[in-house]
Amino acid sequence: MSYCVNCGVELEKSEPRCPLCGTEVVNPSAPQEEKPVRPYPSHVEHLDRRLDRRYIASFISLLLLIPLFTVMLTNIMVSGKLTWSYYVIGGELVAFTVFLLPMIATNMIRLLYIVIDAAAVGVLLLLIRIMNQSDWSWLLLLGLPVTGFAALFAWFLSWMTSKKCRLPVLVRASLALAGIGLLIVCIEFFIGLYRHAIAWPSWSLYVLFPCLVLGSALLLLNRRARLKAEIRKRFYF
Amino acid sequence: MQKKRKKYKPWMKLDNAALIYPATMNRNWTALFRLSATLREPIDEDILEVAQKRTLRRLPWFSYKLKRGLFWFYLERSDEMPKIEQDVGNPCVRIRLKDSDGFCMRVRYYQNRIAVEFFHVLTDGTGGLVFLQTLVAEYLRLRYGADIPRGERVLDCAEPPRPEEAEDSFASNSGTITQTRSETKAFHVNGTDERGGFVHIVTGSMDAEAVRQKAREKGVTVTEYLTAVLILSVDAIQRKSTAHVHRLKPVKICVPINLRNVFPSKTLRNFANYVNPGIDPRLGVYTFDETLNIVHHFMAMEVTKKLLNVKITTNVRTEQNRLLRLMPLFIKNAAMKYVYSQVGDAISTTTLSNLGVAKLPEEMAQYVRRMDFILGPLADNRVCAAALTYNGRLRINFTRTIEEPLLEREFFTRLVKLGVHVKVESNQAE
Repeated sequence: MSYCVNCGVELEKSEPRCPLCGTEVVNPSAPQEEKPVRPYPSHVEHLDRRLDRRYIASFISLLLLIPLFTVMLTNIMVSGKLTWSYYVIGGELVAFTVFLLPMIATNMIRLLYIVIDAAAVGVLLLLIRIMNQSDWSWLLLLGLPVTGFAALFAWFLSWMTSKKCRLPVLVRASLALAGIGLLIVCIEFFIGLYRHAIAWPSWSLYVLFPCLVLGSALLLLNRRARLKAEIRKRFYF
Repeated sequence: MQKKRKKYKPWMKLDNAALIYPATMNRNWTALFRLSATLREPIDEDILEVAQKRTLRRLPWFSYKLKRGLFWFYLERSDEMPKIEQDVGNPCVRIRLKDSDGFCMRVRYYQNRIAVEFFHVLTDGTGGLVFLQTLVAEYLRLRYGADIPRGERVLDCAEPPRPEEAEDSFASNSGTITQTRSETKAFHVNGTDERGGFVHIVTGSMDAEAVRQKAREKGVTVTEYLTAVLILSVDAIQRKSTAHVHRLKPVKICVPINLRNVFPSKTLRNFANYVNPGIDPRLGVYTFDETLNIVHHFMAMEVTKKLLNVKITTNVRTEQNRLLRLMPLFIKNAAMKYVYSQVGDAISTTTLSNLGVAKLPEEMAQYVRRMDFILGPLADNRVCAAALTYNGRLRINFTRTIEEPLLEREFFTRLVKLGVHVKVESNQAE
């Protein structure tokens, strides 16, 4: 007869340690007997593991190859070379990097993910240019820079939503608004560059100014603890 | 010449309480409970199989298979028998209907023990206990030639099945007044998920008379006494894990009520309902006597024919709703899953199901050493408890799907401090 020194409950002979606290049963005066029968068999029934997203994503990636090859084959049979199937190649590449890659490579750092996505979009644009047989200026002056800045903005947002970012929520919202305004200004600048008509930003200012004003209002609000408390009080629900 | 038996109903509707269980089951969870009897000698599988066959002839719907209709699940007769299985180390792991051929129960054995695990669509604890007792009686008759008097608790397998034993007593006992099901959400005991779905069973066994004495001193029943101890155990756990008084959530224990004691019914299918006695820890620390008082009077108020009738009516009315009836099953399932997530496990912290005292005829009791009642893991609550008294021993089985034995430890040490001698056993790995 053994008791758990920690819990005060008596332990059945078959228990090697207290099931409540894990304390080993040591009873120096108990004679060595043959091993008592355990109340339950040692064989354990296992449950299915959760849906393996990585496996499914890899599987879908493989499935994506079927339309790809079909389209390429048809294209070669009809035109004798690869032409319009470039659109499908580029499109599938972007779909893969954006949706399936994060499911396959779960531990990838965010920056790398964004860089790869941007590169995939770049490749798609390049393929479109090859298909259109147009001049390079459209791709170099408009397509790639806008993609690059959009990627930069995406990285900025991802940094602000990460746990490492210790800024107050209001400051983050303010910075995000400023970021949106600047991105729009950049887009207008590159459109101007492409048209060989760089001018003082015009329509993007309609976006920039409200963003900046709203952003600075949020910054001011953040500095006023009392005002913040007041708003919290009035909007309490 | 033996008269050819008339075939029992080819199919059956689910009873009112059973409707929710197939809707909420999933790949890794089915609402199960398990009853077992430990004999004095090792079990003979072949004899057990014959005993099962004879018991299923008396209680045929236990071997019915669960099927999907267009609008509802239903139980379909089958001439096959569920296979007798070897027991496993983690009882009450989900039944996968594909693997079990659609059978909703399984008989398992290990050493001296016969265990039956039931999917809740078939029956509740009381019906399950009658099945187990009949099965064991039949086994003892075949194995040892024991002459066991048969009655309401241990059925005579030579008799044909009785229709009143398979009726849906909810429908026949519903009234006209309904009420809302919604209640405040309760605190839940959380911990580290057990990988691979291991189910921990910790059994505390104590002298039933001693506990009854303790309860009588306080003027309450054993169930109320244990519920109060369980409430205070959960309360202690919550206070340790939550610093803010405002964040404390109500502690409520779901106590199943056997409706056969309240309404006239001979059914052996589901006929139980629940009450959720509890405390609100935000109001302060409750003493044991205060908690006992709350539980005692709550039960007195709630467990009445009138209020239980209102609860039954609410459920039966939902089943009768034309709009719901016309919904295809997959939409209905989604709707029922949502309702269950709101008013199922969410409104109680844990369950304490006390099946009471199992009394066996003297001729049978000499062969049966012990009986156990185990609840399967619940859908959202990680720990639950079930109690059954047999042969003067009250055994409380805790079922847990997290690693930490917080609640069991708190509960059993509390009982020890109250002066109850507790002996503990478990299915932990060596």
